[in-house]
Amino acid sequence: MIDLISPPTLKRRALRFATFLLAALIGASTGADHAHAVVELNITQGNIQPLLIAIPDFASDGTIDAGAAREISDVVSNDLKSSGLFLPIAPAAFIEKGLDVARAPRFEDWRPINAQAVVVGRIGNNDGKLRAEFRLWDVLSGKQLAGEQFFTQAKDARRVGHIIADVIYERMTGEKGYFDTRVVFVDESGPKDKRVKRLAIMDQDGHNVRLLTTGKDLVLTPRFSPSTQEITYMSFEGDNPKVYLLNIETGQKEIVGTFPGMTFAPRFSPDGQRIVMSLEQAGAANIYAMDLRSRRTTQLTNSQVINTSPCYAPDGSRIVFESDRDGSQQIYVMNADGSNQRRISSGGGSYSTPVWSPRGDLIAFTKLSGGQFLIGVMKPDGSGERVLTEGFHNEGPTWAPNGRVLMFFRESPGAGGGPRLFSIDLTGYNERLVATPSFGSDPAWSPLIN
Amino acid sequence: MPPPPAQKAKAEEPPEPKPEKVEKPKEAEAKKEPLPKKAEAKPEKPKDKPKPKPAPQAEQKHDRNADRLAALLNKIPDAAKEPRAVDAPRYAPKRPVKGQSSGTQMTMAVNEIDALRAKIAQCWSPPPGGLGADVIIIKLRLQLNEDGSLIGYPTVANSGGSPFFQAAADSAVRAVFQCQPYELPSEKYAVWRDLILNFDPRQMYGSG
Repeated sequence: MIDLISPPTLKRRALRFATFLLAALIGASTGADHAHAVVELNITQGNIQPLLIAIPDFASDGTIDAGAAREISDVVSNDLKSSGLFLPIAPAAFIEKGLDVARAPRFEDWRPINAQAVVVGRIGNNDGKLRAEFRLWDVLSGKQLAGEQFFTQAKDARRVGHIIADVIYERMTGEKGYFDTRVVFVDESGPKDKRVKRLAIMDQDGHNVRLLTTGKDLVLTPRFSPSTQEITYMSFEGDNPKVYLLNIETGQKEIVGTFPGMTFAPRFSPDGQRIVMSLEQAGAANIYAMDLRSRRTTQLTNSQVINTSPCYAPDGSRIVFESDRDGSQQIYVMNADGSNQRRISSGGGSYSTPVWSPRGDLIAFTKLSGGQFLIGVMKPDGSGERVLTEGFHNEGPTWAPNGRVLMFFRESPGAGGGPRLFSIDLTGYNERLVATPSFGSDPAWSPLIN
Repeated sequence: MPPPPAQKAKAEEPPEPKPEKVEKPKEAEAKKEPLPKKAEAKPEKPKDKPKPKPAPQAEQKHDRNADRLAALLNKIPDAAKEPRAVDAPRYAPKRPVKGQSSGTQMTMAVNEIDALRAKIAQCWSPPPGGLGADVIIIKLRLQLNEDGSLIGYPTVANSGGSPFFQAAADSAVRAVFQCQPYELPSEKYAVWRDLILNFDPRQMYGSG
């Protein structure tokens, strides 16, 4: 709790030198000057509120359409708002108009509307390239907190907005941003008993949706490579699920290895050099790692149960996976070579789809408990389990690259029901629907693009 | 055996061009010609992020304090003779009671302290849940006018190199700015004129 460090406490705690100094101060003050000790308070509680930020429309320098400039500031504003950590102020409240990147805002105009930060931007066309420059100002101190300039292709205008939003997010929160990212997911259309499932990719804010497969074969569990423009996923051609690699730039796809049984639940290693997946044989499923260069596979688990959903820790040293070796599905961690397998989940219910956070501190999972599917997180040793969201059916968490936002899908009940994508903050707040053209499931978040 | 992915057919389309960061404008006033780099250039991290500096006024105040202490230190021989004797009665660990205020033993009452920290806590919105938040404390020094308004700019009295420390320190400075003026008993101005606030977000983050 908050405690006042009163002068005696302060003195007791102080170093000998400080004690000496304090004593000197008191000793010397037996005159006109009143001794005064510094009151020291510990503030251990806060009131976490979105940061009020003013993002006036970015100006055109005259070489491009004003609407095109405004689109970029709209992207910045929407990204920051979607994080739940920022609240863009309605432009109608702005007092100062016509801001210019070449000079500081009139801060006295921004304080009355409680703006804590102001973003000023200017967009132009430089020899066929889009030029974007912006500055982030702290209103109270009048300091410039960030200022950068970018050149890009005109078609990447939205990406520039995402990159600027990432810079602002990082400066104000101290964490890496996640706006300049994409999400691959399974687009689901058609009636519930005859769903067409196609791989699709979109920007993290739901824009620029692009379909990657035709829908002829059922696809599941797409996962991004952390280092290349590739995804791995599972596809049923006939009755036999196989793991594929797909280059999202070229559309080229290939089967990962040829195995006697089914392969499923593939995921890249953090360095992108290996794939870890499940291989089914004779009713049991075990976890294998495959080196993508040599195509050599290594068996990591060896038991007559279902071991699946493997996922590497971000440093590649360990793998988290699910197994029903103790009766119900539970979460286990092992070293990357398969040694030292131990169970980490201990609450009631069954656990599945564990995913290690990119920052290493947590493992997200789906949990079936009391007839509900919920999304939760726990530390890699199994402690500190927390539920982020629960309901009829939530499944398949995936982490934003900064490890503080998750996306997952939620199935709605009934004949007309279907899966939708949602994002949620690590704190369990700020749950948001991620709009997709049709139903969507199995999201997988990309790393930061650049 | 299928060929390794490294030898796969080349992309038919060129890889998507990446927006490149070309220049980090230094100051608003600076008029620099843009210096476009090669198209392949990856955006670089800004190298010279501005660091919060205490406003000159606050700095002066701080220095004055230091001067005063230095001046007092010159009298150490006198003080050292009877530090305990002088110290003990003044700073006897007597529990401050409500409304207490008298002479040189003046202290802040518990309810006054509670009100102050509750007010600051209400204004403080630390960046939530950053990795490493559990090891960060921000120590702010500030001085107040008799009307409870801030004198100058609070000084961040400790340091931490991480972006999270900087973001958290900024949030603490914003909090004390926004909370002012502070309603504190004017007869105890000598007690609350100088404040040290330790912003400690550890308990707020149940990150696991």
